[in-house]
Amino acid sequence: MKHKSKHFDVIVVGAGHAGVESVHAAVKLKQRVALVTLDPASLGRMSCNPAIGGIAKGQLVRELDVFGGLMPLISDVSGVQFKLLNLSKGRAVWSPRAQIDKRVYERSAQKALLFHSRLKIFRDEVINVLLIKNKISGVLLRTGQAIHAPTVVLTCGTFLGGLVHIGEQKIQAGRMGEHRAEGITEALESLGIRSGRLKTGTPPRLLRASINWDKTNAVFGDTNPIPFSYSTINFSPPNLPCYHIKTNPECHGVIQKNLFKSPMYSGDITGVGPRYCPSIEDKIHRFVDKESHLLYLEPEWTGSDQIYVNGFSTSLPEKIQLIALREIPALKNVEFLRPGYAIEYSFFPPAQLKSSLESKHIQGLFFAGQINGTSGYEEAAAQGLIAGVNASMYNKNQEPLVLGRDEAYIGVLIDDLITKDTSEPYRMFTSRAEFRLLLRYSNADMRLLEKANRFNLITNRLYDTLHKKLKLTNHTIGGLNGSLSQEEIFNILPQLKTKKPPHPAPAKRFLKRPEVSISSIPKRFFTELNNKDINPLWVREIFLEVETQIKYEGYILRQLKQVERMAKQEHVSIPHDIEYSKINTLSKEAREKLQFVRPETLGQAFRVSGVTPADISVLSVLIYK
Amino acid sequence: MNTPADTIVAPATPFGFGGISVVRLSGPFSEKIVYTITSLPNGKKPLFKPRQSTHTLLVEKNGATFDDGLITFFKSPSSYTGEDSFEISCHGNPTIVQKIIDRCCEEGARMAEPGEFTRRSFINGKIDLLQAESVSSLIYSKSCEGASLNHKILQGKLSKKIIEIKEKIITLLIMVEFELDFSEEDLQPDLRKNLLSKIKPILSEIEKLLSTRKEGRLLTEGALVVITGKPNVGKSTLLNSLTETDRAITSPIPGTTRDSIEVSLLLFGVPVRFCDTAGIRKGAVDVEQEGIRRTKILTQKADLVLCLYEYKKNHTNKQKPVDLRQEIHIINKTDLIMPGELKNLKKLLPNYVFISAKKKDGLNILKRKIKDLLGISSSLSNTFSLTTARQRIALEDTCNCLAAGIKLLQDNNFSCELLSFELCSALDSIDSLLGTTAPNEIINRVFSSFCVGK
Repeated sequence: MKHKSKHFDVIVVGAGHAGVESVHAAVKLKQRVALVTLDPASLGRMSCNPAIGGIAKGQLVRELDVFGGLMPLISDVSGVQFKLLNLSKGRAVWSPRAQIDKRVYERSAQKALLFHSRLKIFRDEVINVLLIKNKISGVLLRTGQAIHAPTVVLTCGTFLGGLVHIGEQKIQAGRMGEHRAEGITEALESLGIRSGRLKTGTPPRLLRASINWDKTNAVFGDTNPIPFSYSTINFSPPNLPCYHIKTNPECHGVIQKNLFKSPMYSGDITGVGPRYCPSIEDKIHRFVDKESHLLYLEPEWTGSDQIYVNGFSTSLPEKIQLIALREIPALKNVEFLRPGYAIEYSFFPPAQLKSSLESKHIQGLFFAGQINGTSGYEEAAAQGLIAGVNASMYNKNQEPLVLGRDEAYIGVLIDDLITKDTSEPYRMFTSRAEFRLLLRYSNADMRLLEKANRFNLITNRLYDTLHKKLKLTNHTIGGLNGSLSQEEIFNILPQLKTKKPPHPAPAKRFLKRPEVSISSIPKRFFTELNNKDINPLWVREIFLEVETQIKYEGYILRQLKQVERMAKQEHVSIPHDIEYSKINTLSKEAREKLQFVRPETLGQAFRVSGVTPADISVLSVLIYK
Repeated sequence: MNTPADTIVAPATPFGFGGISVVRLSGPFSEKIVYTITSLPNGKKPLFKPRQSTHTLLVEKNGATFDDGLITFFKSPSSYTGEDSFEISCHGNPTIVQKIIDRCCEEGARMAEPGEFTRRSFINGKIDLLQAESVSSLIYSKSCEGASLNHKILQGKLSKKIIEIKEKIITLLIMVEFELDFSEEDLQPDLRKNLLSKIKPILSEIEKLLSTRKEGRLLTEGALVVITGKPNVGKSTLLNSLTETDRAITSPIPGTTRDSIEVSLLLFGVPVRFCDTAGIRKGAVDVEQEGIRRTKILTQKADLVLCLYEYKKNHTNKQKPVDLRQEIHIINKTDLIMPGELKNLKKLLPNYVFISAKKKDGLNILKRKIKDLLGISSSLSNTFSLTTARQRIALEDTCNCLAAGIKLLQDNNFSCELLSFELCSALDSIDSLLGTTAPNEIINRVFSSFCVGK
């Protein structure tokens, strides 16, 4: 590291999953980067569950990979069990997920970044931002020194004003046992940026030896796993099990009786928690009829003593957590390494950001990750990458990388963040994507390849091979227009023999039938895929994509029409200087919301919560005038 | 388009002389404008109270009086448009109406565009898109029952029904989305059966609504009943008898009627447009040919066709199958048939109606049959109907999506994501009716079909 001065191109604050991707993207785009973190040893730490991916999240990870993100690569290296979820629900919602060895993950992230020649790490804390007029110029550190850069990416996670709750106990911390960040929230508020409070929780960690494993059910991953990253070859990860157990009425009774001791119910926590990831006390309180909830015991790393209890997030007093869990046969003698806790933290409602993740108030200041009110590693990483890229684009005076709702889950994520009210931590779901059928994990490369290339985020080699894969896919689909002979048809559909002999017809038409899969189509249609140069993992994906594109053809066309309809207002931009408060024909709620959000396009305005179609008509009338 | 922040003015009653005419003014400056163009007989300025009528003089810029009238003030938001509005009732003279409008424009108002009052009402959230559409139908409505039907839509009855359906679809969608995004917890074991049992009633509910569309259209547009038959079978005479007019010229010479003639009348409260056509025969001259061509087009458009025949000995009318839903087959000139023969004939042709247009025999039986076949029910006023093609198309789309959804659900291994797609599309179509996601073009098309002033 040769920086004598304290001048950089990009300053990234925080080294969680958002920070890591920001740094990684920025150094790749030849930026000189300063990373400010309280503890470099925790770079890339997975602070909650030991898994990456999952429904909708797996799609995010795949998309990150096309843009050269770090998460997919190191997940493949550190994964100990891989599984494709949702197999029975339809191809677009198939989602890859992996159990991760947290220690390997952390180590891999650090190996990739810590010694990068364009990165300098400051073990410090940011207490204020430095401005020239309304442009960012650097940050002020707790140790008193100032570092300078035209762009700053804030990824402070749960560390802003972090407050840990265990029963009535309150501890000021960013994560259990780690210091919280102070001062920066107030500093930003004084610049007119609004903040709010959210909460999230984490379950207790159990001592492996104290669990009666005979009374659990082992669950393994796929025997034929697929990796997250297109760059991963020779993929043969381990397949370690997780373990199921079930809560019971006795366990529920303990929790029910002590509900008042949970800070969520006593009113001690004012932040809003996520509905979809409820604490165990929430689940029992809200679903009284359910006699049992499923819990997963997940080892946090290979040979780990520490077991994560997925599904038992709680902020009850430690003693109650223990008594309740000990009602479950497998946990009769269980011991804690750490109790579950809830953490309250500050965030900045992301409606104050542009679609580039740059602040609308302060030029050059970017926000990414939990600080924007999201939850989850994958959501954080996706924003981190976009913020890192766009800070670099800002410095190069180039157009930012913005993805559409029809292009990527990342696009849906960011568009939702900047237009919707964040009243609870935001997690990605497939149902948030109205063009879900187009956003498949298996076509992430095809969707995003060109954009990734245009922004120099993909290596030439990967671009070339993925481009080849795309061409092969299209070519194979075209080839299926070729006809099947009568004999071939009988092989596929023996039941047709009894009826009158079918005429030869395009293979495509047979593949469209629900009962026909691509594996029953004659091999002669796929000779090109037998080429030894092609990664066998990809051959599987090409088969899947070909099959999906043919079987879903009608649906995909309908979905594309919907995209076209949306596009009409999507690109109508709204003048920057519009004074919503003076348009008295707008509803009061719309006036307030629009004044706060200040959408960039009519499409965005449409999605601002509380804005009615009538308000949109008023706006479009004003714009078209 | 103009900004809704200005003030608009337009006559609210049709052009012409009459007892009174009404001019309507709406917008933020309407109170100021009315204040300037009025004065009390004692020279003072009047004070307008909301929902009250005030008698004032209407004055020129120089203070000279040009008429007097009653002015009613509707204060925002309790007005049709949701803005401050005034209704100025003056003497029913086009010159005075024009004068008032000129004065308002002098003081800062502008002429309203077609449908602008209703557009503002929509923009201000006073009515939804369905209701807005219904206003247009109300104005053009040709019968009392039609007017009352539109009045019901205006009150949001149809909207309410459709919102109910929408809510039901959303409930299904929630179950499906839950399954897609939280599949790890197997919380909906009987999902497929459950969904099937819920989706079917929704479909039939919409189908029921769709069947009301014909009724709705009959009431607003009137049913088209076309009379056809060979030349000189007595079509024009039937038209005159049915409508009790002498609109059609009748004569014993075949081919007298060379163009179609339309007469409207209220049949059991429903407007019916009876149409006499040129008889179709071979070897007709050019003008007549053209009439025959038009007859063919008209018959295709008709809600009901009256096929008129003349009785001839040894003649049976069995050559083509009788479609009782679209046609009534009538034997005319029963006055020329011997009574005994007529009795036999009636037995032989039970589906025929026997009349004498000239003597006005059997006309009531015919009228009742027309009413039955047009599907006009007497309980109509208690229901609500779809009135425009847009409403029908949107609901048909919804139907198709739900039907596709049911088809998916019939497979044990149904794809949840495709079902979701069908439900979302169904919702999209419904939304286009309620205006919640209506693209601009639709809104503009709805408003451009209004007349000035409403």
